[in-house]
Amino acid sequence: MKKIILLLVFSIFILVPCQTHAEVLVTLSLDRQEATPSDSIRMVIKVSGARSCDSSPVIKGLDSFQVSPGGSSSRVEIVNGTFSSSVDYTYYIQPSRAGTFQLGPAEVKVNGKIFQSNISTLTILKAASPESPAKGPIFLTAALSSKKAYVEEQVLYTLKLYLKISASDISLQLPELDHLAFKQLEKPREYQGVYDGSTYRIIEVPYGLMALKAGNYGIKPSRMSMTAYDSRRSRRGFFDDPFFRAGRPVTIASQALELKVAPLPDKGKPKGFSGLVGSFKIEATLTPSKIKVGESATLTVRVSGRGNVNRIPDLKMPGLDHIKVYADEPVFEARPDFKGLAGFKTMKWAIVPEQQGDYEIPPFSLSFFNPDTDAYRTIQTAKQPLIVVPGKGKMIMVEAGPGKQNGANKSAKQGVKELGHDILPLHTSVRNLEARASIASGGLFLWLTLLLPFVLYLSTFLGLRLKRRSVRAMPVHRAKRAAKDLIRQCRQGRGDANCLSLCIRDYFNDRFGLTLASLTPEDAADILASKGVGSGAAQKLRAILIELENTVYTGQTRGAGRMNDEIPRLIKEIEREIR
Amino acid sequence: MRKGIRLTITILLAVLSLTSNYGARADEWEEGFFKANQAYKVGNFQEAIEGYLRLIRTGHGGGQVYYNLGNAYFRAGQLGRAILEYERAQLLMPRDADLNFNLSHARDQTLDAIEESRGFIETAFFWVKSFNLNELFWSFALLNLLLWTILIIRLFHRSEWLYYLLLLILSSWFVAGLSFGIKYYWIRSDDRAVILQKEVNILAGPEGNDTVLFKLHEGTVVYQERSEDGWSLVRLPDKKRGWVKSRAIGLISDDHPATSIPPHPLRRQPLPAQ
Repeated sequence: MKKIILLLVFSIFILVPCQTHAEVLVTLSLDRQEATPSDSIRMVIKVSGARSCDSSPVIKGLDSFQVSPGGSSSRVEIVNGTFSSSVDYTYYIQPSRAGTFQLGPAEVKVNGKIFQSNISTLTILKAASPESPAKGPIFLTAALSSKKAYVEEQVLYTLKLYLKISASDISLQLPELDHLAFKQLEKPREYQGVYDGSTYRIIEVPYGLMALKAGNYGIKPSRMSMTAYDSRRSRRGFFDDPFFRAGRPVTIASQALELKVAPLPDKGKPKGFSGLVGSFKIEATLTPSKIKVGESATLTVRVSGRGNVNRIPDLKMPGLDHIKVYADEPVFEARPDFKGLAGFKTMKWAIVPEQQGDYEIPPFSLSFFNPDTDAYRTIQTAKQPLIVVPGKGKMIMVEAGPGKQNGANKSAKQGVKELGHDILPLHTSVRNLEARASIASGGLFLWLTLLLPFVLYLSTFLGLRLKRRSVRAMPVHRAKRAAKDLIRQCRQGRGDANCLSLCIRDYFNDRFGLTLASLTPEDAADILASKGVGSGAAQKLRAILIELENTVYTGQTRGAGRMNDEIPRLIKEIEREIR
Repeated sequence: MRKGIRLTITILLAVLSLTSNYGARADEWEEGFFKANQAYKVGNFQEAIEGYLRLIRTGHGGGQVYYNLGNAYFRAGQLGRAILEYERAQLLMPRDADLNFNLSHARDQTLDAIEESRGFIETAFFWVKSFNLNELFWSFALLNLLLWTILIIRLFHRSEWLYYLLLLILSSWFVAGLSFGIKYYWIRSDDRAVILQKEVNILAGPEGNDTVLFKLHEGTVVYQERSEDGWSLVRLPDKKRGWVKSRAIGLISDDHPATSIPPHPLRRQPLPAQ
């Protein structure tokens, strides 16, 4: 229960604020921009930021189309804590005639407010008669947007895979030709289309084709390999062909094409022509146009267009009197789409005037060859006036960084640009002025520093080992000395019976590593027997111990002297037998 | 008893005289350093150069003296010698931001575009270049002390945490030892030299009339393979080799406190009279 409550609270905290900040955005999109009157085009009206609409969208520009609704779907997503919702309305439209049509805007009413979508352009071409009708359930076509082109002019090479059956693992092999470069412009798009009266699933792949050298090019067929699956809907007719049984590898080829590439004309070629072919425009802005001496203004020149955009040159800023100019790294971006390769290059200069006055930034010019007009064209920017008033400008010039312009209330972050280079000043501290003793030259002290801990460890280790060894050797040593000590005691003859009895006990303890507090005659005999001493010697010692006990308990003092002679002999005999 | 007192007094006097001598000499070095700095500040770069060189010759070549000498050479328009002294200073204070900036700035002024190649060891032990030999030695010595101390403790007391501490220290000891060894080897085998003249011809042999193989310019760092009869065989990172007059290059490891083995004969001499 607690978990459910927590989940609800969490959902309220997460969802409610997000939803209140959601903005409604309506977009109209088509599955393609070109079609024929027999095609069915998929149109989607996407309403982002709303889970439902008050009514269905009202779409303008559909007078020449037959519209079939394809249903609606809504979606709610929470990704990384960001809540989003949208409703998609799908329509299938079929044109009744050829022409170019503006579809939209679509009007949607959400919470009483009306929102409008973008407008999309759709070109309906006249239905072309199929080159080879009855191509089967699967075939590939290739088409060029133009059969004639200039060197480096971009031509569209469009591959269309027509499928009536399902296929997977599709791979493409493009023809390889010297001086002819293919560049895929966009991801393949998929839609339904009609060919020769039959409906196909069409996969379209656009390529930009560019010839680097003039000549006639025979473009060999492109090949597609895939795994084709038999249709389950029909068990008769064409699909009964064993070729289309499930999961069979298929390779198909498009038709061969020809492209005639002409060289760029020499007539009218501008001086310093960079090889730019296509359609381009150039624009320049200077911000601010009025500054103080020492402050900086930013001159931005942007060249954009469609064609071989990678040839857009880095424009040079001419030298200007009393103005320091610092060039920024140009920014180039290519934007391929279904119409070909487009892009732009943005160049920026920081302009720092050193004197007051009215200046004029000269125009920048750009030459390119326009294949549509078959002529060269030179375009240029307007002159940019710059007014410089007196003032103590900062020596560090700053320039607006990319992507920081939006947000009028925010102070834009600016990157610092170095105006000069020089070495840094002297070190004046006298610390460590004297060179230290060279470690590279070694020296006894340094080696001692490293060796001393090891020597300490070694000494400790050896000391401990020695100590342990002496502790372990003590019993052996005592055992070796036990007999000698007892014999010496007896020979000195100073001990009485009790003393002799204790000496014999000590002998047993030392000799056999025992800790006996008292030793009975029977114990002594057993111990000796266990150590391999013969019964004769053991019994003799037993008898001596009994005699000694008797002597002690009866208070007699005589006889101890005889014992002093007998015990050493017996001990020697026992020692021999132990060994 | 009297003899003992006399001996004590003699020892005390000797120590006092030594320390006072040291203090007097320290003042002398500092004064020399300040004078050289002053000469630099007023734009008398040649006098500053002589002052710093005097300090280095008398064994007072700390990193900052080599750095200042490099600055003075730079200001005097001797780019090659400036780079040479900056390189020497870098051996002593490799992390000094001013030094690294100035060295980079001076390198930018050189004409020859030569890519410095980094070997496997230089890449793998990238941190070694950021420490001087002293720092690496004392790091290793400290870890060495810690390692053997822990081993001694383990002779008497063993525990799990002590075992893991030992592993940690042992691995650090290994890395520090290896770093110190590599640095030591680099310094001992440092054969880098800097071109000191504006432009030098690199010849096919140690004769003035040999074929000119290529030209090098002031400040370019080369590797000296060997020298004979006033000529040095030098190598570039791209394996180009040739002979050049030995006086046209300056060895980075030559007359350097961190590398001179045995010490330079001019070391530890009293300052000459000003």
